[in-house]
Amino acid sequence: MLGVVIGIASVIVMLSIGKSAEGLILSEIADLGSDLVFVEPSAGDPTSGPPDPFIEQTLTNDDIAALRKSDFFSAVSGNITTSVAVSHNEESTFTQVVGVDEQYTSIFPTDMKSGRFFDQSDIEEHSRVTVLGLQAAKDLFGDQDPVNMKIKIKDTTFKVIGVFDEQGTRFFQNLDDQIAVPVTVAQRDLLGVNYINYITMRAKGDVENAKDEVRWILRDEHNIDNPQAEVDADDFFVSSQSDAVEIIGVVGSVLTILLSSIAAISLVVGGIGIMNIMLVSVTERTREIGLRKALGATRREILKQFLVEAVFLTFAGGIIGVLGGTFVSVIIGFVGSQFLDGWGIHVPIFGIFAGLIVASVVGVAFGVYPASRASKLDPIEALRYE
Amino acid sequence: MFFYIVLFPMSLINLQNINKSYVSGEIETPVLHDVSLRIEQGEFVAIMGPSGSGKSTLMHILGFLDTATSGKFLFEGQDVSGLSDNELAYMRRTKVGFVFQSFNLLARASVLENVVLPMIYEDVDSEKREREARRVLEEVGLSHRLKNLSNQLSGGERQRVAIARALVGNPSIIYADEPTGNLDTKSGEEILKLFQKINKEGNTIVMITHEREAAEFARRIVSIRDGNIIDESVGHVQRIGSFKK
Repeated sequence: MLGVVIGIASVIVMLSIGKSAEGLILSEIADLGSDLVFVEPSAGDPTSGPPDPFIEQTLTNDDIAALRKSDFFSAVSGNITTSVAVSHNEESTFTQVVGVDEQYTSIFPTDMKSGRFFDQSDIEEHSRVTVLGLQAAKDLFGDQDPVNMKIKIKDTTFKVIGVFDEQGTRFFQNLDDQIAVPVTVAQRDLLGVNYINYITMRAKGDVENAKDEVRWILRDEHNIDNPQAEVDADDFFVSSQSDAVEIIGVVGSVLTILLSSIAAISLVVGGIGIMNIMLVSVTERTREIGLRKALGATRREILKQFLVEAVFLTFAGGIIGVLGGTFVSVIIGFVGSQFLDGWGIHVPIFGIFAGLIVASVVGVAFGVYPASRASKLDPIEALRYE
Repeated sequence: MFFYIVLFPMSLINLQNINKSYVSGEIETPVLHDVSLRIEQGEFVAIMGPSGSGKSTLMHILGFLDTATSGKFLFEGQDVSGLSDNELAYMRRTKVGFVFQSFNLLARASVLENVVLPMIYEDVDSEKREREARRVLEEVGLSHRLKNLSNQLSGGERQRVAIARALVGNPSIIYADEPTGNLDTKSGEEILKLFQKINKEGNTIVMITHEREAAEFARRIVSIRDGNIIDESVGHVQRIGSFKK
């Protein structure tokens, strides 16, 4: 019975998490748009594992300039990220500083709460200016308006020129904690490097064509001789929003397989438990079975009676499982929505019905053997049974 | 045709040369030898014999719980010798009522539910089931016990419930297997008198017993020993009084 409860609860929770994850991914897509293209550095060898943008250093500002010449993209932005201490007077915080350029807000539309975003001259002239995320601004300045104030990032002084409005999370990162600086300043003054971590772009037409265009431009820039266009030979990795969705989908299906296995094992264990209960019941009620047969019950009627009882047991377990699973789903949904925007509370109606049907099927599957034992009892022997 | 009916009136039960033996492994154990027996509509017959005499086996065959190894069994003129499992169940359901030595009531069910039980297998609608159950319970004198659980009753009362259960659906015949075996003398006597009463009302009863005193409550006694019917004392005086002379 407990096995059936856990099994059915797992089914409900599994479907609920699946639904929530799907909703989250869909809302990410809706937010970001499917025309988003990423370029990350890569060793080029797929067997070396996923690309690590913080080790590879193959992308530079020249690549961005080259990509901007192409007609395939409406916006191109280079990004570099570092985590450093940021301070204003006595207030200090350790947060993520992102180096971006003026096209960043064309790729990820962001409202300004106050002040302005970077313009082209800030990037080109290495202006030491910064735009704060809403939470970062609160941490450093409290209720004060930070525009035109000075903050220290590492040991360099920056002027605050704007504050982003609330942005929420993107791919599980809290954007409101971040601080933006011109990419050129981040490279020169904060990190002392000349590469960037990744490039984001908005494609104008077909995303797959745009991805190919990126590859050819960057092969040309990086002097890679790759006439067969083998992705493995490149020193960069191009992906689109839909690729990211696919990867998340794989993670989701692994989770689903895991929970399904738990559900399946629990249901088998529960089913065997039900079978034992029913076998004991058949033995205890041997005389009753004999009596029912003497009163004219056919084998089929006895079989039906015990099958119905087994299904009733598992169905009751199923109902408890549905209630428990729904409860856990609501808790997961509630906790999830505290940390992730777009993570909703989903109670899968389909899962409730599926759970009850599965419970009944388990009842039939594991009730058949005890029920058929009952139906085959000889009425004379059964009536004499002590 | 008319003469045929007059000369060979149709008996309720007509056993002709019934043999029954049990086979276990290589050994065949005969239980009934060439048993021939007629029971007419409206009779109250006691089949009497010591344990191991084959009387229970005979009742099982008569009650469609078992089939004979050989011989012919006519029930209401129909040959029922070679019925299938399902056909036997149908006969038990429609033609036969049983009363057992150990009552065999459903312990967690009320008196009314116990009596309703056989009709569930007969597809009687629930309203008619309850009406019928109340009628037979009144007949056995248990109208005041309808809602009691069967394990709250005395032995005699339990056997009355069992008789009521056997009576519902108006079976052609009622078989009682040692109905007084688990009862004290007084309530046993009451049960036997109840059998006499329902017999007078037209029910055919066959009672299996090993007690002569109980058998004497029947109108006819058939003795059985070692699988042979050895005595059919038709002319005995039916006992009406109590066991103690």
